[in-house]
Amino acid sequence: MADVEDLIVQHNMENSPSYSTNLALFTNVTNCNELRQLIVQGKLEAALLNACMVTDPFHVVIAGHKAFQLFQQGKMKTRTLHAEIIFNLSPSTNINESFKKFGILDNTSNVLVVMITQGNAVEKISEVSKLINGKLVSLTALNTISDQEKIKRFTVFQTRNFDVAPYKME
Amino acid sequence: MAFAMEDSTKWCLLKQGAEARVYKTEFYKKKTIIKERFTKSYRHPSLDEKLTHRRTNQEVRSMLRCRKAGICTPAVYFVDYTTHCIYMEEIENCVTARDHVNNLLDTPSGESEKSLQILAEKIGFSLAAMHNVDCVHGDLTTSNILIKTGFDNIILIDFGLSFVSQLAEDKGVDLYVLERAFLSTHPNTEQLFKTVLESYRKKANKAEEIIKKLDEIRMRGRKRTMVG
Ligand SMILES: Nc1ncnc2c1ncn2[C@@H]1O[C@H](COP(=O)(O)OP(=O)(O)OP(=O)(O)O)[C@@H](O)[C@H]1O
Ligand SMILES: [Mg+2]
Repeated sequence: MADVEDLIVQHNMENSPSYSTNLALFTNVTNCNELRQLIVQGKLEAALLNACMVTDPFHVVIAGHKAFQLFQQGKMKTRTLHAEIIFNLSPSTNINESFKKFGILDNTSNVLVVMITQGNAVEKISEVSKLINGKLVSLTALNTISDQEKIKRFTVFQTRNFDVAPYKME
Repeated sequence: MAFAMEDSTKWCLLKQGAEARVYKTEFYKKKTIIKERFTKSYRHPSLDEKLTHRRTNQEVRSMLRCRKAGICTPAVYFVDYTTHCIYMEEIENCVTARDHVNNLLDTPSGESEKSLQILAEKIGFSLAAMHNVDCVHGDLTTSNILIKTGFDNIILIDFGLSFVSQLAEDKGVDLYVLERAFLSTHPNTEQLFKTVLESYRKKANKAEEIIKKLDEIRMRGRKRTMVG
């Protein structure tokens, strides 16, 4: 198995480069029920996304950027920075609904871990990855596990903040 | 303003307008256009802030509304309301319809004529689709339409003066603004603009009513210039 370090994708926060948004993809996860409890108890500080709902990591990074700015301004709509990331990804203004669709459920098996950290994230993510019963894989595997149909149905082509349009102009 | 200043080294100024600056940059490694609305010193500060905020908001809302309806506008990546910056997808390899039309007019040929006709049709169809979702652009000119090489559709930009309205009058004014801009930037294109209106008529809801309004608005415009 490759090192955790090699598989984490780190994006320094634009405007605040001492912070970064970090992405790590896990497949075959079997303990989402437990992970959800850890989040509720505040013992796991990360956003755990249903990886099937993410088409492009860029969208997650942007959601992180926005969450971080609102956090700094004290204008978040949710209680934690990581919850705010999940909320920002959703087209819905309903927080619970957003969590249900973009967060993990008990039976979710592909999990995208998103963490905003200061300084080096490797140690923190390594700790989190110990809690996850699953396989850490390269983020590029996202292509094969995103459920395009699902995304279309739920996001109506866009989120509140930016869009995941069905046509590509690039 | 600290944000914008800090990073300005990486921002390459593309266009300095009266109300906004347009920059080219990268945002999380994606090629990005930033449109920054600035406040004007001669206006009342808090009024100015509100106005700038509103323009930014209108622009973003209309872009999302249009995209949802399948009309091509740049994807909005991020909006910074503290600095009034819209971060959007850079349309690469594009020219404004203004330059494109002028180039074609400068090199008359059967081919050019055909391209112009096709372009005029696309403009009419896009505007109809935009009006069908009650989006009135507010600043239609050929500079606010982009043509991307290899991409079939035209791309609408610059929605800062846009608003939502169902009124035929507002849509008529939108067409009138484009007509004036079109004919003054591209002389002797009356026939071409007719093509724009014909294709608009084919696709727009309540097209007859809107075109009738356009005729009325033209009359008013003429009377006003006659009186002086
Ligand atoms: N997303 C984009 N991709 C590529 N080029 C763009 C994009 N947005 C704007 N441009 C370029 O920048 C120019 C100016 O943009 P825009 O029309 O939005 O600003 P403006 O005319 O200064 O705005 P305003 O009329 O509100 O003062 C465009 O004509 C186009 O050449
Ligand atoms: Mg313009």
